[in-house]
Amino acid sequence: MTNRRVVVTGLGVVSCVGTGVPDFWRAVCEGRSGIRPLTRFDTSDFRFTYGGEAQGFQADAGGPDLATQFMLTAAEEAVGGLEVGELNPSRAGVALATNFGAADACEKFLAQTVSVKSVEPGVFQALGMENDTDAVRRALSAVGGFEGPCTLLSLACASGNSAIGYALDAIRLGRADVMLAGGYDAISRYVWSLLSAFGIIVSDKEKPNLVRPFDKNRKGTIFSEGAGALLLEELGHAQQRGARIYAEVLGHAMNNNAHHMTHADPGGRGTALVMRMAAQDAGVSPDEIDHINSHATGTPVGDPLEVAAIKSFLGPRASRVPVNAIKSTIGHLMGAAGAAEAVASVMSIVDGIIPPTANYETPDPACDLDCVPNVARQQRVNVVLSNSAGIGGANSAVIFRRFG
Amino acid sequence: MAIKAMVTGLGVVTPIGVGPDDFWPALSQGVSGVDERQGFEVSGLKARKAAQVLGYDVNRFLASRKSFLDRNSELAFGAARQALDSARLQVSETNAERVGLSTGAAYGNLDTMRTFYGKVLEKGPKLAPPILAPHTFTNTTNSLLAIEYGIRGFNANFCSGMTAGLSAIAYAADAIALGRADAILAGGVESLSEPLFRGCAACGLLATDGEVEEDSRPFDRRRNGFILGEASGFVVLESAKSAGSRGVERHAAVIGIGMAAGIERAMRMALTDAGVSPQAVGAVFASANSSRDLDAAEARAILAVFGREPVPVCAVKSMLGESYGASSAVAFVSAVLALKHRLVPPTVNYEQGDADCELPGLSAEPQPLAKPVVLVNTIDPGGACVSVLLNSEL
Repeated sequence: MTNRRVVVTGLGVVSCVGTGVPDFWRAVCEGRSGIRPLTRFDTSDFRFTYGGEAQGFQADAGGPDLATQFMLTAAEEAVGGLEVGELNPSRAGVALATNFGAADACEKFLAQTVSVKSVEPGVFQALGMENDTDAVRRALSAVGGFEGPCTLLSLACASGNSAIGYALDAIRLGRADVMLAGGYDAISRYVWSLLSAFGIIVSDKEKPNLVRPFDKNRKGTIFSEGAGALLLEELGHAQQRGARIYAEVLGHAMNNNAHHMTHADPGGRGTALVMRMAAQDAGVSPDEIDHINSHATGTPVGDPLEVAAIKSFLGPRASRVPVNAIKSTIGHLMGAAGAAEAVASVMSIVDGIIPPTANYETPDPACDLDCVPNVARQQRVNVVLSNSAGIGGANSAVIFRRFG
Repeated sequence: MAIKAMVTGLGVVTPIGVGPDDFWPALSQGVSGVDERQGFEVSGLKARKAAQVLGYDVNRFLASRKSFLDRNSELAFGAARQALDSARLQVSETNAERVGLSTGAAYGNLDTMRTFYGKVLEKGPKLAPPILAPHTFTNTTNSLLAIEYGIRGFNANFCSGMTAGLSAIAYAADAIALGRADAILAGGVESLSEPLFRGCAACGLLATDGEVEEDSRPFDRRRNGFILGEASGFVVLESAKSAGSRGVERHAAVIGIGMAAGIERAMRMALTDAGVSPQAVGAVFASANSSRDLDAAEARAILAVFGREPVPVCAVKSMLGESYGASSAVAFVSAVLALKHRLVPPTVNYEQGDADCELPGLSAEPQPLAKPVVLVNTIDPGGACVSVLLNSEL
């Protein structure tokens, strides 16, 4: 229905292994875990006290909510290559996605409404997730304005990819020529109390406290925070302004397992389907996919299901396709996970390096893929698929291809 | 004029009617859903009223009883079930991957979030109630709908404030046009809860007694804030091919979508997208919710796009209040019903024009709908706007 091609012309990231793509990418390739004891709030009454707090990030105490600041920082990095005057403001938009939005405001608001105390107007104002889209839109106006389509999606921990997919469609459909797509989330006491209720986090007793995707002794995931941003652009628009093109966005898909809010989806059926849907949207056959950046979070139940789904999707080639899990280094960034992993997926194409699944010691027959254990691999990547999944059965996938 | 998707199913849960057959007579006759607030008392607030859905039983719409449901999900189940039934859409193993779901809610399950966090504060995080945790996510309602009906295809969930519902419907129409699904259950929902009411009140967003009694008065000179409402509105959107092969009634088609920061630009984009002129539009379903600034901005935008031509304008929030993620989805359903009945609903309480919002096509009485094309607007105070164009002459 549309022939408009969409490319990535900017990247930005905030994570527990570094802020800014160079630091992030170096740490991810070296497989250095950013998981540490949490310092943001008093964890003495929590069962799980390790997490990935953003590093290399200077919070502005007088600024907006921390989560919003993460998104702003990543977005500003992603538009760094734009010159003033290169954008037609009405043809540029913003699509964001998050799991919890302004986590600090949310926590304050809930505490204020639990008590009979009055609610602070600024706190309720910040709670509205759509205000983050507006904050990003306004912050980016320095490079010429983003006055086109602006929206915010939420698909739990599958959120990040949904913003990229939405932005891709907006450009394909001719609603915009340029879209800033991003995912973001921050750790707060409320967020931590909620995530702790699901029984999927590595126990504090495990030493060292690490995420070990695909490892036989994996004990769960560890949550972290940050943001990822991608500047998407219509190919002709990017070429006309002489932009650096990192990769082409070929396609995306989102679905739901439609099985159970918290139970495992038998056989990884929904994940297999979302990959097939994305490949169809991208117009590629599974045979053309030469790397998968997996969702794998390190939970005993989840990882083998994604492995089964990948086997079903790739067929006999599955054992020869490198499938890494960078949550082993960056932790699980919640609604930002897909966006940060998309940044890594694009960088794999750019640099020809597949980052490792770190902390890997003991093979598990139920996860017998080539998980790029512990050491980054130099390998040309032409087509990469990045997977995400979230509570409630949400799945999303995006596919990038080398350009030129 | 390209058809993006057909509307083949409709469902609503609103303060003035559950189901299109109850809702439309009330809406077209100007029945207001605004009344004294019930269910919770908060001292020290000037705003007393709300537009609530009373006497609603979700079990009418569920195959089996649930151990726990947030009110947001309860309201969604009613409208979603109606939409699927009226489209005669059965989701089965054969079509589950080609049926999609697209939903919107601004604050969604805020009340359950508060209940959950109240327990955390009271008993400590180690004793946080695990049964509530999965019901606190912004996409909880979306997941529950997918599970209830077995919808395994395309899925999206928006929490873009007051635009969430129409954003979900617009993206569903695009997804159909892009071939991502054959049919999509799409809509928006918002439940009214004590925390939401208190938040809106704290920000001075709500109507209060002034020159006249507290009420929803879109575009009226005496408007001083909105009445908080709750509702859900869902539709089934379907490709022309799928609707044709199933032989179901096609109520209207989505022919244009505009999204931008600013409602004037969004309306122009929708018209350009559809390739129709402003003169072809029979009515505008305004986003106006009785706020001072937003109503005035929308009125200026409508005048800028339509000139002094008196295009009929209505603000259904005059009867339904502002139900955030639901309001624009309910306005979309209202617009489809208006096309069916060839009648523009009244804007109740519109008595005194305002120099800031002079719209010649605005009326406190129902107006005939002379042309088969209507525009549905939604504006979020944060700046995001969506405008969708519908056509019933298929």
